[in-house]
Amino acid sequence: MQRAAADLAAGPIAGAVGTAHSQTAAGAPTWLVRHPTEWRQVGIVAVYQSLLMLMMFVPAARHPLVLIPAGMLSFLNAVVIHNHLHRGIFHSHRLNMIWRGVLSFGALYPASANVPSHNLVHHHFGDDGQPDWADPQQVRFRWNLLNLIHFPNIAGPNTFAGVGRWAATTRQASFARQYLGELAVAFGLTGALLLYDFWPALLFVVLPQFYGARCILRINLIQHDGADTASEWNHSRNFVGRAFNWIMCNNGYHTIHHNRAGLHWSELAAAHRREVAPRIDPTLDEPSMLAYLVRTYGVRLKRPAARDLAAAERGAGRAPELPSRTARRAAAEQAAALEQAV
Amino acid sequence: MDFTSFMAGFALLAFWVNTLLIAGAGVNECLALRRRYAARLAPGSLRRGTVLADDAGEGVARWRVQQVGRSNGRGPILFHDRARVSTVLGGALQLDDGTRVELPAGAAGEVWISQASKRRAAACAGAEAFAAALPGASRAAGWERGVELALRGGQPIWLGGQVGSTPIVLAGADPRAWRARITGLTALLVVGLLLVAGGCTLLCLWPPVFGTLSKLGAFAAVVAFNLFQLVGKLHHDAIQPPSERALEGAWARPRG
Repeated sequence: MQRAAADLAAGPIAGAVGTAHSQTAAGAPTWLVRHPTEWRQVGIVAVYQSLLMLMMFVPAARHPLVLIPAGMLSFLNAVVIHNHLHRGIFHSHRLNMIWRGVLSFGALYPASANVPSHNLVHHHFGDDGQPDWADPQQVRFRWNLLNLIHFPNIAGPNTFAGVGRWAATTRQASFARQYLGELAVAFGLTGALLLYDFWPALLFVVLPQFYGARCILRINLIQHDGADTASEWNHSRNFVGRAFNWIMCNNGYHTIHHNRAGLHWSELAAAHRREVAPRIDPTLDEPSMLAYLVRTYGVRLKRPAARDLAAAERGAGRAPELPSRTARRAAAEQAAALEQAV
Repeated sequence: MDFTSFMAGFALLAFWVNTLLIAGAGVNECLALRRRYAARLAPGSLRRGTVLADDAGEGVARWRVQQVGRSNGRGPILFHDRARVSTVLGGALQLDDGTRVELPAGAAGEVWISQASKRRAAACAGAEAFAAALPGASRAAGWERGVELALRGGQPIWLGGQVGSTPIVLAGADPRAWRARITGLTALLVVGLLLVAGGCTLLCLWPPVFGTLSKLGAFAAVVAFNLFQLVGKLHHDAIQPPSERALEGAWARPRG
């Protein structure tokens, strides 16, 4: 395994996947985590899972004032899964793999599913000529709010069918073991809680878990519906509010994240302003996600019509050089193997 | 009503909303497909005949899927489709009403061939074929192949639509059977989902609410909630028109 990791590290994209390492190494050494900002992610998960346990074991805590934040934090737990599966939080490989298990319990799905579904397929809007498993075009209700509610019912099974196929053919020998381990932790712990006290576990643990897992699928629709996935700079909708991005660990800056997946999340805001803002249609830079949701799914009934969004990048100056999507996919595969194998 | 009871009611409501959305999406898709082919499969527009033999023996139309097979080198080779293409090669049909129809090469059309025929054509020919494909399939790029089937001279054919106006349907079996099948599958989906969801709800609300049967009902609803999504996907995959339906498939490693 160590040799495999060394081979990968020596590969052509070693510099790209090692960016966060070298940046951390250049600054002050950090205890336990690779980047000081990772404590924010650890804190989010700790607070979320503490709230779940509080509602589970303290009847007085089964209250909307605890459940609603738990639901929101469940979504953020899934955001942390996203970040952690791009770039492990901890220096220790073993700790990163254990952390995947902790996150899997929070979301009630194996965190490692993100490697094929998000890093390898969604980032390139397709899987070898087939549409993205989370392609917004798969929902077609005329009333747009129904598309938002229904989307996880389509993207979920597509994702798990795709992950199953990928797991059966991947050359990452340890992936299946890790995936099954996370599955056992997520369902084992949740099952134990259901056996211990069924109704609190179902209503105050499983429901928030489901909510977060389904919201992270929905975010694909929110970020890409109506955008031009064939373009290089206008394929995603960004939510650029500062407070929103603090709590979301900069996941509002989606365009730059797609194009530079190796970039640490703490660097996305600056990179968005530098590379994306000059060549993106202004309507894809939303100041507030809440306002966007109310406007798109609440106030108006029909789905907004598609527009020529890529005109913005055609009119802009020379774009920074990006590797092709095929090269980016290969780099993502190599980075994922490196994370899995180190 | 305490908060726990409220949340139980909310969970049941969410279960039903999603059940109805999955059923509704299935019905919508089925109706859209029926509308798409309504004119071409209508009586008078859909005509049966026979493919007349051509000199080259290529047939009048071809369906082709480009696939990529991948393997970890130890297990099966799993295929996924990249692109499915229908091509009218040109030729003539003798229709049962006595008319002869000339199909120009390159005419817009969809080629419908049964899933069973496609699976037979895509099956592994034996240990040698597997061994030859495995090295390519074990590479990151995978092993690319094309699976082709044609409608050839002497075969029965159904022609839907007017040549030269809309894209025609050229089918190797009666396309009305497909239409009946997707309608049946959709009815089965709706009835099945409603029956299972109804059964779970009945158990959930069985007195005393929050008792043992109620717990079983709630657990069944959680399982059903997840299975319904999978059933919705299977329904979607199964009702696609034969020209667009995924082939995918796997070659198992030969024993011994």
